[in-house]
Amino acid sequence: MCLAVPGKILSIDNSIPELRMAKVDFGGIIKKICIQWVDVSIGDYVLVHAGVAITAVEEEENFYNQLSTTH
Amino acid sequence: MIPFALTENREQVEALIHSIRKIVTRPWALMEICGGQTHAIVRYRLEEMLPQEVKLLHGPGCPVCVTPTERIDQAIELAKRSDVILASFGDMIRVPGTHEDLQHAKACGANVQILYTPLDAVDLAETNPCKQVIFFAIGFETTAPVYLIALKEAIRRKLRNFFLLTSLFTVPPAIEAILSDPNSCVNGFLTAGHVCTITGNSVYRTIAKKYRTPMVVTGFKPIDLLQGIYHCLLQLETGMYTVENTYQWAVSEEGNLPAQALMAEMLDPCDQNWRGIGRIAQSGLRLKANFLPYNADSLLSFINNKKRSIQKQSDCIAGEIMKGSKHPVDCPFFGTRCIPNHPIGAPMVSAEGVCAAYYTYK
Repeated sequence: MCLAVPGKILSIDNSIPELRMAKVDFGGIIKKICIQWVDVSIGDYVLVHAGVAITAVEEEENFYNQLSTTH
Repeated sequence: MIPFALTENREQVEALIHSIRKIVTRPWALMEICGGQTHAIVRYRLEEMLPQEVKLLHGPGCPVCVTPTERIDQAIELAKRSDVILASFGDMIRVPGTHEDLQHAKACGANVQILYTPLDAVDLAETNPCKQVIFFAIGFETTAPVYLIALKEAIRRKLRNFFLLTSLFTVPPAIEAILSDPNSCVNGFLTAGHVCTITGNSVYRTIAKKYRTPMVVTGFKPIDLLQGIYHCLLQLETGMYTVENTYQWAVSEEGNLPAQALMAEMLDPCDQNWRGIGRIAQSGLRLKANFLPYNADSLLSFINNKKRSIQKQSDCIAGEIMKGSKHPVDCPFFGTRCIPNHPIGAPMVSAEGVCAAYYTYK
């Protein structure tokens, strides 16, 4: 139920200040996502749950690669 | 042996298993309260890779499973009204109420829609002004504020036909209920990564200290779960009981502050009934009184309020399974009378329930 999927911001629509939206790319599938809670720019990654970005994240692959070198 | 599916992180997995084997000197029981984590643990057979001393227990981590039958019945009753569109996520549709599920109601003509996000229900309300659009809003702290963002948008658009039928749960009171149970055998908790993304960690610091129990914020990949298990065991073996965050990729100490502010503005804590477990004080969330016009409970008052027949499922051991004192295979109905298509107890209800995960992968 609490599934969240990371995606990359392609474009941002600030036309409604109370509901900032973005086009987010999930590995080829592009969806409109609410980015009201995160401070992000084009190219950034967000973790998305039920259509809303719940946090900004680092690119997943980068993060886990760093993890393996520091472990 | 490391299952084929884990070869992606094989070196890291092997290193972690080796580290875990090196530190464990006595029996420990760890519990996760997150259906996604339960699913991954069972699917990737993580428990089989751990030393025999380490037991993994699966708590009530699936909000779909623990939603009371009466609430499902109410959703079905509302869905059957000709002026209602009832929307929810896909996992709600198959959950059995007393007599039927939403899928059956839909087959019989009810307008039940599966949506990706509650924000789509706002569009649905706008394009269907003659219908009452009700989103069946189930979830933990991760999902609760998402419903609120949709409700705020409906208010901004001045829609009067958008409603939430809430069944919202908070995880910390459930952890406290489990730790306060004299029969509890849980030594440490893996706390749910995406719940903590919203809530942050401070509430878990209080619980860790009060119950002298380690709490480790944990992610969802096999490598994340082993990382969480390792740090939890390390604390137990060294006599520590603090909150550690092994899922820093997605969880910050303070959590998601705008989402927390929205929850504080629009929701009140309330007592909540957990299917299979019972009532836990202050473990639920409901809309504040000033949002009554958007609360689907206000529509329910017009429904025949006859005493509902609440099925007594005395033979089902779901409660003990979700508190960690029994295992799915201890249940005489597991895999026989109780299967995912005909669940008897809460943990078989959704794919993320522990019994359903064992049924699928064991």
